[in-house]
Amino acid sequence: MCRYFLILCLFVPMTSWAGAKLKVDEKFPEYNLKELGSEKKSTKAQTKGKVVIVDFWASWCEPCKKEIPALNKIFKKYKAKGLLVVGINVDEAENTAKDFLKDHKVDFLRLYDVGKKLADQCALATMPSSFVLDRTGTIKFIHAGYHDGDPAKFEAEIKMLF
Amino acid sequence: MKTVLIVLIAIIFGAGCSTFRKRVAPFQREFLAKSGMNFIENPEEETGMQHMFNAREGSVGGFGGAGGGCGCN
Repeated sequence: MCRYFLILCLFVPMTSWAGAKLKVDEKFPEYNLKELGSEKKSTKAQTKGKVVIVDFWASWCEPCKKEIPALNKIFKKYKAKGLLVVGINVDEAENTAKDFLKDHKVDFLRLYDVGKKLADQCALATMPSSFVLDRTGTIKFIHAGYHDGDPAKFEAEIKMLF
Repeated sequence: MKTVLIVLIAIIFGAGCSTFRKRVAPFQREFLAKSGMNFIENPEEETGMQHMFNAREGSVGGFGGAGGGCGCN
C-alpha cells in the first residue's frame, strides 16, 4: 500500500505547472515583451523609478473595453508626475489586438505577451487584472477585474505611492 | 506485477482528471468568449422562455430567474 502511495506522489507534481499567484509586497516578475505592432522590446527594468500600473487586457474582454478609457485618463493626468501604465495584451493573435486598436484609443504603453507566458507566470485569476507597482517594482495593490469605482481607487493608490 | 501495472495506468489516466489545471484560465478564454460559442441564439427570447418555465414549474431553475412559481414576478 505504501509503495502505491509513493508512486501516486510521483505523479501528482506533474499535474501542477501553473505559475504562483502574485501577492501584495512581492516583486512583479521580470519581463521582456515586444511592443504591439512593432519589434521593439520593452523590459521591466525600463520602468525602474516610476509608479507603474500593469494591466492585462484582451480585445475580447468586455470589462477591458470599459477599463481602457479610464486608464487613458489616469495616465494623462499623472504621467508628468512619473506614472507609467503598461498594458499587456493576451490575445491569441497579435493582429486581433491591432484591429482592436483601430477602433479603441490606447494612449499608454502597449505590449504583447507572446504565448501568454507572463500571464501564465502571474497566474491571472480574472480578466482584466491590474497590478499597481511602487518605484521599486514591488506590487502594492492588485485589482481583479474592473468595477465602476476602480478609477477612483487607482488614483488614491497612485497618490499614496508618489 | 500485473496489479502494479494496472495501478500505474490508472494513475496516469487519473492525473489527467486532476483538479490542478482543469479550469481554463481567464486569459485563455478568447475562443470561448466568441458569440458563436453561446448556446443562446436570442437572449430576449431565452429570457421569456425561462420566465415561462419558472412561472409554470417552480422547481425548474438554475438560470438566475426570480419568483416562486406564482407567475407574478
